[in-house]
Amino acid sequence: MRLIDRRLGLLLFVFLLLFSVVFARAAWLQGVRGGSLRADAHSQQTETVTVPGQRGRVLDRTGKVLAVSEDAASIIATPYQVKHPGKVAERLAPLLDLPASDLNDLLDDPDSGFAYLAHKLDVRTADRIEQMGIVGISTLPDSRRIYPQGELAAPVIGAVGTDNQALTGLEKSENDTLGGSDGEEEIVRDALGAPLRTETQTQSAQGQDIRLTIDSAIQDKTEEALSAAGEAYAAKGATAVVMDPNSGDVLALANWPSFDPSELSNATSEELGNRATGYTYEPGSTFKAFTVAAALEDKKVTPSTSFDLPSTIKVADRVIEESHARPPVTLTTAEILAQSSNVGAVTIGLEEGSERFDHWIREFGFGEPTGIRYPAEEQGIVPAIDDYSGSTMGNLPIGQGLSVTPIQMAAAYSAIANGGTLRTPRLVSQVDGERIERDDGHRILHRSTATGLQAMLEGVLEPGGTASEVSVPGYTLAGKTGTAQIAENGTYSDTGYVANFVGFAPAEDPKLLVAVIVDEPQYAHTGGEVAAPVFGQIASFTLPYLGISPE
Amino acid sequence: MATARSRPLGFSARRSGVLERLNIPHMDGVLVGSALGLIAFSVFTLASVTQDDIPGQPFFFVIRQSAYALVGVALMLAIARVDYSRFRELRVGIYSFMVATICFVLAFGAAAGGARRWIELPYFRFQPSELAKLLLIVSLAAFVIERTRGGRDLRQTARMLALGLAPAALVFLQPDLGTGIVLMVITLAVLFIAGVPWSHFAATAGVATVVALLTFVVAPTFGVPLLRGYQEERLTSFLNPSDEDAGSSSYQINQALIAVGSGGKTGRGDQATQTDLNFLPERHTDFVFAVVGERFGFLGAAFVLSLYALLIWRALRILTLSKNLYGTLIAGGIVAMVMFQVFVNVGMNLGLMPVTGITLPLMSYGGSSVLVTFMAIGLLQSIHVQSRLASARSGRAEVPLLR
Repeated sequence: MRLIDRRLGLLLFVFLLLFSVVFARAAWLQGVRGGSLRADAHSQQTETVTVPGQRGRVLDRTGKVLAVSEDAASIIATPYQVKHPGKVAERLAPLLDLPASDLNDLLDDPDSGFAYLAHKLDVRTADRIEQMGIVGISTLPDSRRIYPQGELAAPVIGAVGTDNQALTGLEKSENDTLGGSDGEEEIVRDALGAPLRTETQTQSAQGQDIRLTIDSAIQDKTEEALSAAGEAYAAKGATAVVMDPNSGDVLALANWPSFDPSELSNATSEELGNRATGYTYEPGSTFKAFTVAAALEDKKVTPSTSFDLPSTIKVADRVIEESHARPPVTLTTAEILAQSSNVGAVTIGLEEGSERFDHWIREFGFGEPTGIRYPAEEQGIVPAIDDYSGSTMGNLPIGQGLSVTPIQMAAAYSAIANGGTLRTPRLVSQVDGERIERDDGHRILHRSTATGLQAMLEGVLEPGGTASEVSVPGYTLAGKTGTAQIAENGTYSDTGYVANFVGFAPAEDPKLLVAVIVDEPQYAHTGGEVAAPVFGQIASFTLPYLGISPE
Repeated sequence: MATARSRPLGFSARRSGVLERLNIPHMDGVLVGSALGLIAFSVFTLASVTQDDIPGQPFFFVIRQSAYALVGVALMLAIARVDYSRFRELRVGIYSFMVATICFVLAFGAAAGGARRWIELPYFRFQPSELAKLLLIVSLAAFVIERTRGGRDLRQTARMLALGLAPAALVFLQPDLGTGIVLMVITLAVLFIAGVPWSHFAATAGVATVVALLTFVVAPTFGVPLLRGYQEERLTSFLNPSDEDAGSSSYQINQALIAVGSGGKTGRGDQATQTDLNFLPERHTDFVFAVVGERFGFLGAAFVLSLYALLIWRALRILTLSKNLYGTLIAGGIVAMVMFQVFVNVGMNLGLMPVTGITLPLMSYGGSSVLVTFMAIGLLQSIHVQSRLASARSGRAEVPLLR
């Protein structure tokens, strides 16, 4: 064979070899790996974007908007596509209200394919950025929560996070109603990241509104009065519940300190919580009303039954004293309540006996959550009768040795104020377009017992009573003060008090009930000094506001 | 002898018809057919993917590629009429012209993307390095025949190598890595067909290894980079195609792979999103094969590859038919050129080869490339025609090695 033919043969061989390699490679890529490479193409050409379904609104009883969602936008970057990170950062900084250096740090990263530059930007600014047409910068649909009333009722309403997820409060517990369902869109992008078209995969759906029983005006006044007291007495915290005692509707639920829902990251967990339902305390003297109510209902005493009371009374190993030492005295049941006599209340409690007493405090709803439609409600602690020690009946009648929540106190006092019916307080009146009916409640006291107690509680705000300095001209008020020492390590503190007051008005035909609790006030500590005036301020606004004419 | 009857081989003594005048009956029809098939498929593919590339001119690339094809066919016919053997005498002139045009473009060429590769002509940007491929084949083949008379010693081989590598080096300087490599391959192919002993190739390989070591290892170590950054990156990036940087070679290869694979067995047609959304770079030139792969799938890719197989087979066949060594060497150079370009380009599109900027003959858009390829086919036809005429004259039946 000629040399040239051998060489030609080799050339032919190389040709056939290369041809088969290329052919086989094409067959492998297109036949075997076709599916996965097509998936790669799809994933790099399209981007699935979540389109938030807007949350429903939170309305007050008059329809005023407390929380609403509006369209917003997130600004995102594909850093490796951004040509001049420094310049782009300079241009975006004023619009995003961020330092250019921070933006530059995010953008100047050729290894990064995704970065959020801003969340929840208003739509107009986002449109301006979109129109700049900067390669590598684009916007995503977002939604943001607006609270038109600012801080009003913030701990009650609760909060949502950056991704519009419900975090606390009613936003969380009513999320099934409020939360919209997110939709999905597929954005087809070209190699430079410019969006070409959008295909909706799933439609987003808006959430439904909820309506509260809260009245913004009353809420506002309540918060104002509460924070004034909290600040004046440098308290640790404070809460107030305002109710219509007849319907059980909560008209205001105030917490101090509160937080600004637009600056959620600055809020502490204490501020986020709703003290009215989540905070428990020893009620102290405000609890004496229930001691008396039980004895009245069991006919152990009448309002005018007299008691010869020594200076102190010893129950088992415990000596109960009055808050201000006094000589032995004779007081009627009504006077015991008006003057808040510890010895008197314990005497009545002992008369009643532990079994009946236990029956009655449970009848008033203590030791159980009220069932108000609010998340994480506390139930307080009421000792089981089997756990009573010899001195327990020296504690419980004066509101020590058990703990309650503000909403329990407001509900139980409402039963006294409304003539004897205990109702579950109502905070949410409408959900998902459906009305939530008031609780019909159940009668726990005879009307006569309730009226008797109302009259006795008037005495607290009359001369000689513990809250005699509080008055609202034109209206008769009723209520009960409480000044509970805070239990610390098994003994009662000499410095830490819970000043509280539960009151209602007008005394004869109550339309308004307020419970005020101030935790660890400084400078003054009695319920009469610290808490009762808050009730007075709330009542003086709310009674005329509710259209209740002075007598 | 001179009768009016036609000869059995089919050419008339009365050479008056246009077809006769153009030697068309003596051409290799399959070769022409495969070339025309490729250019037609190129125009068809360009028509479907380049409509939006230049706003307001949906047929910009289609019209130009068609025009290049027409001019190319004319050049092919013209060259087929000429007896290629006459180029042997012109070897010094051809070689000098080739070197001169490359030098001219180095000095005065239009710059684009950091490289000087073109000479601006009215309506056309001419790329001398493309033409250099053909001029090198024609002149080097002539020099080789000249020199083989003086014996086949290593010095002659070295001289021939130097003749071939000089223009390659000049093209590297433009810088145009791809064409430079093609010129080297042509040189080696011509020497190979000419029968240069294996030992000479081994020596050449040894020298090349030393040069490569100097270029890639020794010189950079001493801070003298001989290759431009992007060239080195191109040569090495196909080893790690997962790099995601847009515009980098590995990104391009990765996008080509995704495009070809997406095409599957029958192609995505108008759903060819890799192409439509601009993920595929250089889709009308270097990566046109990936476009075919995505739009027409394995069917399309196999069709194009088959046309190339046909074309290369016919070229190899002509190589064996040549009436003289000169024709054999020219055909060998052309076969090597086309084969190398096809497999390097398709290999790049299939992720088997690095990105070198080597075009796919007749499929890639580009005047210089299309014209030069048709001219090369014209040369092959000339060899075919001359062999047919010669055998007709001598009465010797043609006995090709490849049928």
